Amino acid sequence: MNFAEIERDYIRKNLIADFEWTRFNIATRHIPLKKPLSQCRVAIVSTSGAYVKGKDRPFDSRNKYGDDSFRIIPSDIEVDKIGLSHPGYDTRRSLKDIDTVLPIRTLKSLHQEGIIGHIAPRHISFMGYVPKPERLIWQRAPEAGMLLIEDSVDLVILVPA
Amino acid sequence: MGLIQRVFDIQGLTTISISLVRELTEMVKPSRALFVEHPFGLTMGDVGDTETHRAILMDCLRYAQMDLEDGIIIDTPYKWSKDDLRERQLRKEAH
Repeated sequence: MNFAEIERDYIRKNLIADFEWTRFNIATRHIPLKKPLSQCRVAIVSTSGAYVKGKDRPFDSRNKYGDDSFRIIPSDIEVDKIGLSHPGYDTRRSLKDIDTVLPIRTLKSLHQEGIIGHIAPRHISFMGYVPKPERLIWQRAPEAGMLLIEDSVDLVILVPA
Repeated sequence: MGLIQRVFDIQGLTTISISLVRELTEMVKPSRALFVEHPFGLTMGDVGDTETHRAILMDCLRYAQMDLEDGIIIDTPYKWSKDDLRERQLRKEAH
């Protein structure tokens, strides 16, 4: 059995009896970059469950239906102000080096070297576990996408955890 | 992750993602993904491994610029060899 089958069976047995993975037959289209990387504004969207400590409510990692909300991570945040809440991995390990799941310092260094033109003012964080994804697909993710469009983001790099 | 990426693709954003589990990405078919065989929670590489963090991010930038077929999952050289954490995670025996 592969991971998808093991995870599916685990969720069915312990959480949601009728769980099934969402599938699509047709790939979405890749939108070509409209300018050179050295002029592009880049944002990171992570499913690490990152949030701003003292400002944001942590994700609900104990809800069997997951948590489809998202948090805004300002690009100028100090990394020790970032918290992680996620049921699927050891967040204590990742907090020792936030770039393991949210590579904002790495992105900053690429900007300082002129490899990318700009860093978006807002990165976005979801929590990866969302077994009932209807609202994620039809409301939450489009809302997040609109924020990225408002920020004139040229490239979104999506980093799972 | 792929579901969110699909929404952004449809909204007209240029996207590239990292996939930790190829079979899940194959089900969802986002526009473009890099397959990285790292453990959950160490997507970009080990704690303090800034060289690998950078290399993966650079590959995201490089492949984002290329003319490739939609839905492609690009194999990469990033494979976890430090211990069996990834294998245990994929069997749901580790966190």
